[in-house]
Amino acid sequence: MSASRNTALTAAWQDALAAEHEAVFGYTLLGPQLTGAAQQLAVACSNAHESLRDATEQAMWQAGLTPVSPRADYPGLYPVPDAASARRLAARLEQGCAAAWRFLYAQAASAPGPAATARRAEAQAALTASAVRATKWRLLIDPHDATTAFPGI
Amino acid sequence: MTTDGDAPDAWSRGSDSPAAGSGRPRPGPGPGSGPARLEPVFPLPVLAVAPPRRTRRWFLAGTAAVLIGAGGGVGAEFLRKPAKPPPNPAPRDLVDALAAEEALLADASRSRSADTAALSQIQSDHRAHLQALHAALAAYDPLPRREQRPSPRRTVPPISASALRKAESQEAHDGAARAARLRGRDATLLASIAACEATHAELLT
Repeated sequence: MSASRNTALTAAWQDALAAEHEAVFGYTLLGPQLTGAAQQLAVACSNAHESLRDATEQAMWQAGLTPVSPRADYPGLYPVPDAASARRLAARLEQGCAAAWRFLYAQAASAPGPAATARRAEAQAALTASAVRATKWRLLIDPHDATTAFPGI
Repeated sequence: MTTDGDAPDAWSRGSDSPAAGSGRPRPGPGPGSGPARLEPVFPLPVLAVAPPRRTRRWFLAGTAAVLIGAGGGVGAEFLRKPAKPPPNPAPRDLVDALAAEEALLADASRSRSADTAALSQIQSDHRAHLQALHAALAAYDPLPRREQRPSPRRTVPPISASALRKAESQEAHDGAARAARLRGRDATLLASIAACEATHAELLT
């Protein structure tokens, strides 16, 4: 029981890292389509995801785990022909990250031990950060539909 | 009464029975063929001795006793009070989250923010949060009814956008702390709601 919970927790943690890998890749793809404030936002978001990816990998190594590697390509993110599609892709990436971190939170909230407690804290911070970034992008897409009541769902 | 007077005669041994004299011997198989058996020609009267009189009255009384017993058992089962389930009070943090959500909705309703689109979204989100929290609380014992005191008529002062932003931001922090103290679905729900409050603060920036 405990072993399976730990396995589920580890898998969810790796999934969250995989989502961060995808976000980093995605921002390199969409950034060139943006200009001005939107581009600055993309740079800030990209930096945040790179930092979170590095911190997550570091924590995994310290936990005796091998972090999942980024994929060579993410065909599902193409094409990004213009600024509008770039903004939509950015919101989608943030939504994907929020869902992954929320799932990790759910796994950690059902598992005992200090490792689970640490994952919950990380997941809450990452979920909130992604939700806020997604709201920033949605404000640029449709200000009347900028929030979701339950980020990550 | 026998065809062969020397043959052992079981029939005749029972001659003292009331039925003994009512039969007639059947001719035997012949001389030297063994003991002859005597069988009655017509059936013996069965009711030669009157059985004890426990016919209809006894039967009815027994049936009534069985029915009364069975009915009583069924009735007792219906009347028996079910075992009281153990108390399952709602976690304090979940109840506090509900109160905080109600307060935020009230704040958003009296906000002076000019951004009506943002306010509309915020109020809609808070209503969804309230609904989810009520659903989560339904898994526990009902909450004690809050005392409804008639409040004097007074105008509630409007809240500024910056005050609402501060309240949303504070609740994002407090909600995350509450979530960390809970477990399972309740914790995940509060974590997601806390993240949403943070987006409200962003919306009001």
